[in-house]
Amino acid sequence: MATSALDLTMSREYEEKALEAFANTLPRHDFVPTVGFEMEYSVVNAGSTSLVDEEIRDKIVAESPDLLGQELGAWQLEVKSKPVNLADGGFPELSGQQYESETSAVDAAVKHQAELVRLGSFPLQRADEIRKSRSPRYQSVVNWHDSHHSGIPTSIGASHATRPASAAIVALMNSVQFNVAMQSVDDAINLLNVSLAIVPQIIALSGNSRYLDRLDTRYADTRMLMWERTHDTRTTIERLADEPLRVGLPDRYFQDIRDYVKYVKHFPFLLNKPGAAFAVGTGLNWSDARLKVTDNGVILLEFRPISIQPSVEDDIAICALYLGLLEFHRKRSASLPSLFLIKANRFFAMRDGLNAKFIEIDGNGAKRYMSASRVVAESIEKAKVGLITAGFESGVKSLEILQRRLDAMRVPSDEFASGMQQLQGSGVSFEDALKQMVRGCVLRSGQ
Amino acid sequence: MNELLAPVSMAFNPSAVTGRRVYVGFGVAGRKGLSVAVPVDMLSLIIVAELARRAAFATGITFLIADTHAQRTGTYEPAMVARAARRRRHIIFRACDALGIPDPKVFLASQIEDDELYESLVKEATSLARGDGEYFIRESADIEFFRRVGDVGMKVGWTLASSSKSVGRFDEQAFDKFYLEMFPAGKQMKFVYASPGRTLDPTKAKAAPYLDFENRVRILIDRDEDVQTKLDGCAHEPTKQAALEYYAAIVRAWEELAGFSLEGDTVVEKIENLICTVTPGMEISDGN
Repeated sequence: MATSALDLTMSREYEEKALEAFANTLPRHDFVPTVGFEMEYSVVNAGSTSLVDEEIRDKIVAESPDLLGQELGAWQLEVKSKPVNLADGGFPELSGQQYESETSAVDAAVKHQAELVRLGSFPLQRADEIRKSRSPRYQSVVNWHDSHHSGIPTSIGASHATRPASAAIVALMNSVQFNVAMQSVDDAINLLNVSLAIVPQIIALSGNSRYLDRLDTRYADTRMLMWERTHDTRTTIERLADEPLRVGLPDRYFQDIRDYVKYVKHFPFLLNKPGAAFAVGTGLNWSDARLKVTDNGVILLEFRPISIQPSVEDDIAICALYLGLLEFHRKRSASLPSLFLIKANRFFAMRDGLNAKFIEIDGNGAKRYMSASRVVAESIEKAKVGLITAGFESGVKSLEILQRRLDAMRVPSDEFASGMQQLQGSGVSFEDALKQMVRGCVLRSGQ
Repeated sequence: MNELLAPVSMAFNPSAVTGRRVYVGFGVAGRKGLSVAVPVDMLSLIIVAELARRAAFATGITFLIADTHAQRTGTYEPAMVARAARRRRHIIFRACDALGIPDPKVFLASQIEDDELYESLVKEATSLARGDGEYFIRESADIEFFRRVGDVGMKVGWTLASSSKSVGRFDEQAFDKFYLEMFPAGKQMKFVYASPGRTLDPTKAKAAPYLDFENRVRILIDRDEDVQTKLDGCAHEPTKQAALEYYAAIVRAWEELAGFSLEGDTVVEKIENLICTVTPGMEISDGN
């Protein structure tokens, strides 16, 4: 809902430009099935666990501005890899592209005596001592959310609580995001809805941000929960009525592109950038999945709720699962589960990972609990079918990583916790164990 | 049936609640006055609400803290009422995080009482109440408000009565009956009751789970609480044993719902750990 003249003018421009952009996208016969990654990393000084100053991060980014970008944290950077045509090189090329991109980023960091940490949450930094990037965009967006915050608690933890955080907590959270080319506007809306529906099982299999603010939260993945808690600006009545946040799950599946545009434009725009409302509206929509349009008219479906995984191979495996499920559902018109169930199951996945129990309603309306592991097992099988049907057979092998996680009932955050327990069991203090575990997530040149 | 549930709790059809929310209300004052302090027994209500939510496939729990209701029914210092409300709000959120309760929503009565719908519900209940107390009217309006706007399908309360035939004037079952008389559309609501809290006073062994009027005989959610010393202060063994059994039931249910064991080997140690779990960041209490 527009709350100011800025919102009013920006939302009008957004609607006009968004509808124009989606109407002028490439025709279906020009479709190329590309996938691109965006990967976020914490940057530490070489050989240490101390986060770098912004100047160092900026020098690293300047080494390769087409590939690297700033993120909200002064110590954080993003790697944007080139999109890969899956119909050409398949998953081997996708994997090669991500390795190449990551290696370039690692090499750029080495030039400035820095290293990249591949972990969903950087656990050694206090949650209330965040250094934001100086860019006005990051400053103003964080400040706006802090000053409009609903007042709900911004801590997390099952047995111990993290310190209250601000919207800047995102500076400690690192994700991997997939940008998938869509065949048409209708295809994009269909698969956007599918993406929302499959979030719980993918999160259940990918948790990698359990430790935060120097403690064990016992949550398999804290990233989206912390984002949601610190960005909740709803009024009392809006919270009561379950109005959606700009973060996480929307309140509905989208009927068509107009419905989607209407949804995006109803959030405050925050930034006054006449002429750039489409980019601003798209950029400030932090739903689990969103639509973008490239300069050359390609619609991209971006999938966003996943913490960065322990390695490129793991990222690729999650991407294979996601793409396989999209392809499985692409031509099936099965109805999607209610979003109120997806929302609950998504939370259970973030809390308990593969040990979660999901609520399921069968075709007759009967309710039952189903283990997340069973839903994940079924999803892996569906993804195999989807990948093969779409001609992306090379992705099936990547799913083996996920099958191993399932067989062991362990996701990356469980592995991290096991490592912590082993170190502590051998007499290492919690703080030192955490430092050792973080060092274990540091990428080394030539790795 | 879980031992924290009152025997009178009706069997309910889970399908009537699926996809909706569970509602729990907490007072900050009773007939004996204001209670800033919070007994550990309060957690039993949150546990019962979560048990009910899971059984009913409900998607979240909505909590109301009746801060301004207290000010309408007694003369209390607003700052103390606010403090009492803050403590309960803090404990609820921490408990929800620990137990993995999805989408907890905590509201203060002061946040909703100026809403036009709420005001109209209070007027409606007042016109029908024929002299019943303000607290009855407000509590009925609360339930109806959250049923209509907050997607609530089940209410969890607590009761002293062992059967629906022995309900006292101020028992929560009486409030709920009054609510249904005021707002018959609420008959779709399901009502579940927790058993009462326990005290270490043999002359009054059962009490409201979330109110404390004599902290010498209640185990409180307070960082400095010395559980063993309080128990040692109770010379009446049957009363102490009943309280310990009650705390043990809280510990068992908590561990089952949270999915991990509390630290400690004894019930007392585990209750102390439980208190530590929900108190980080909470204001220090200075008594009632």
